[in-house]
Amino acid sequence: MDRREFLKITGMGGAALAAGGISIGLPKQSQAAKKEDIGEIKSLKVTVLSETSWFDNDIFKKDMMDGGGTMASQYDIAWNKENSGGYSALLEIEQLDGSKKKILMDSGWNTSWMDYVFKMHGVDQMLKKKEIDTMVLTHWHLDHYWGIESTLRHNPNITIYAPNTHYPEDMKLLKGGKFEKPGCSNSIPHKGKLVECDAKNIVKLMPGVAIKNFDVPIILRVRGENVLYFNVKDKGIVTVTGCCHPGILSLYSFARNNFAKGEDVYGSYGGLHITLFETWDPKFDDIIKGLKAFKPEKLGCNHCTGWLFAEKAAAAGLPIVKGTDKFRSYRKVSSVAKNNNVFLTNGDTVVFG
Amino acid sequence: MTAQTSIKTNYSLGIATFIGLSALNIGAWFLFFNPKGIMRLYTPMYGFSMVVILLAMVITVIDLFNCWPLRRKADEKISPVQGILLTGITLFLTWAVMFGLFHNLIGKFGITYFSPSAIVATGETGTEIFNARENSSTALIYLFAAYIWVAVGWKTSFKGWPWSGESLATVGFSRLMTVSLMSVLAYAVFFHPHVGYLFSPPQKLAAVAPWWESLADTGSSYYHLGWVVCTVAILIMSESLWEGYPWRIVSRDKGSLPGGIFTFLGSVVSGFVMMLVMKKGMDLYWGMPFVGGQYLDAPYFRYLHAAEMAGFLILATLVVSIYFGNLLSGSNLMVRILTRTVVLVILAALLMWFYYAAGPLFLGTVPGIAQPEDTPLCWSFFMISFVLMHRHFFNAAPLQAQS
Repeated sequence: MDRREFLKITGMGGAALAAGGISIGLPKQSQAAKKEDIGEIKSLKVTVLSETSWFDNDIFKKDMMDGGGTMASQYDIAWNKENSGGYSALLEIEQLDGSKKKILMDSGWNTSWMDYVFKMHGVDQMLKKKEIDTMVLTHWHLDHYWGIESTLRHNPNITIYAPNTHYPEDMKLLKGGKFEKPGCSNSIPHKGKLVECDAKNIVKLMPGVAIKNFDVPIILRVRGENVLYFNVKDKGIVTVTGCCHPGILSLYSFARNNFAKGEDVYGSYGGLHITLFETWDPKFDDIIKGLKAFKPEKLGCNHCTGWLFAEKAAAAGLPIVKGTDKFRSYRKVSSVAKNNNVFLTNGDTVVFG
Repeated sequence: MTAQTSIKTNYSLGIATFIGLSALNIGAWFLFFNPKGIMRLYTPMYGFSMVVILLAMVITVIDLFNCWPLRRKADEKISPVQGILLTGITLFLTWAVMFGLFHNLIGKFGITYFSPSAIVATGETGTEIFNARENSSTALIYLFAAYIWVAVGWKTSFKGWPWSGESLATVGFSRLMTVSLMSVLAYAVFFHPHVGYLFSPPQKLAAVAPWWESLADTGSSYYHLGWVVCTVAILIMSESLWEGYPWRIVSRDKGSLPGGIFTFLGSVVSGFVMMLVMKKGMDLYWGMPFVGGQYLDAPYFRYLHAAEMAGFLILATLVVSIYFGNLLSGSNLMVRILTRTVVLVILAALLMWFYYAAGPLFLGTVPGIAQPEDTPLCWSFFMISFVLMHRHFFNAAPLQAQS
């Protein structure tokens, strides 16, 4: 065999390898030929009802590892109930005409904690009075969803927008079910409308507000996350997330490719799923570098963002919104809470607009 | 790591044997790694590090020591009892290297990050036991990935040189020293900077910042893992399916210094090109990744996925050469190489399909691609270890091996 023959073979082999490799997996979301105009809002106010999904990282991680690691089903793990809290936020939207609308994002984990949190902020009354008639469930993770009874107790007819990527256990809980091993239950069946958001379509909730499901695999055998996009007049796009598993830059990139004026990123609120357990990796430096390229004006982060990332991002010049001492008025605080209020935590608010 | 001896071709028996071995592998996976199984060690890095070290030890016993001390001469046949003993030796070495040498000796008395308990003892941010175990495992994965590459590269490139005619023990220990030295050097340059920056604060006095960041659009060493595994795949494919080409153009059968250097460097260049070709395919299919992107948008995932595809190519190569008897023995070289390569690629795609489509059922993995807590490399390396042990420790029974 001479060199020419060999080159011919390797060239063909390389092409075949590439073809073989790319034939597996889901295609990237097709980029819309025409960008979607989702309208505009005047402002968005976010109140952090609770971002402490659990209070001690070590206990949470031990439960997860003892239960089979990050790929085990969340329903197969015996969680320490004393360690559970929950994630939930109140979103108050002001439309261009001055009208206001409240949306509940997520319902936390431990119902005792969430009842306490909802009462503290008057969310229980808002639900009862139907001031809040819509809940956006970002994803089916325990700390965002298993406290659903705390919401349904006050308004079982609430409309829920949730990712369509659920498992039978999720539906059982929603309809009123109990799971002994993981320690979760819901005694109040959901009677309202369940809007299942798929990954192909954008759901326009109201002018200036849209939901997009990103169908990504997530730890603890969960799939898909709903992301709220807001278009604030004269400011730009704001993303609001539960955990932001798809990655904050992928969210910005999606807006840039699919929304009219989507390239103008104003900011973000929510968990960013980076230094979840306060440990570092060079790929997190990549995120800081990438974020700087988008030039957001306001980053209100917390929860699974990790204190470490917030500190490093702020030190790198990113506009991380600092928190206050309000979290200390809650009956329980996280073991990683720091005095420097590095990010928004329980009881804090942030306004976009 | 290669299957240099051929097997009498009986395709039905070959396929049945491979399926049987796969069933055994899935059973072992359930026992050790399956997230729904017994020990649930695939956390993921902890279990993955065990698998990488296991494969490294399999290669050490087979490629470096040629099954010495149970085999005294190169052409001696291994009996089933010896095969069981070799399996035991390999498993013992895996345990001793991971827990004895690294977790308890080097980690506690030398380099902190090789021992989970030593990391925890520092009391630094985020150093609780589970993070510490994952970080320590990451370092071991990288070190032994470099070792596997150098071991396979040395054996394939330099063959018997410079120890032809020496006893198996002399050759084995000489190769072990050479491979260890070279793999430590490779690890220091390509992987240690990543591990040094796994901690907060970054270990700046011990490790430089990842120097490839501007080249790769990521500070992750998955960039290097990508070409390293692709290089191993090139070496295995050339040795097993391409009958030593293209390196045979320069390299002699017994090995030589120029031939060795040509093969070693040539395989690295080929592996790097292969990774870039695969990445280009992914870029065309999924769109361009960007700095800081995650999942499919992450540059580091594209490199890791190239390694994952190369892992399936290695496994498929071994299956074609061992269980399919290397397909054709007649006709001309070009036809033989093309046929084997086409079958290899189809088989690799099938194995990949199995992992992603049937993995959630058989292996307990999470559905979907680019899940940060899952890499098919773990299972493919585990399966490769099984295939190699079956071939070299048990003569690929019940197939009949021919020297």
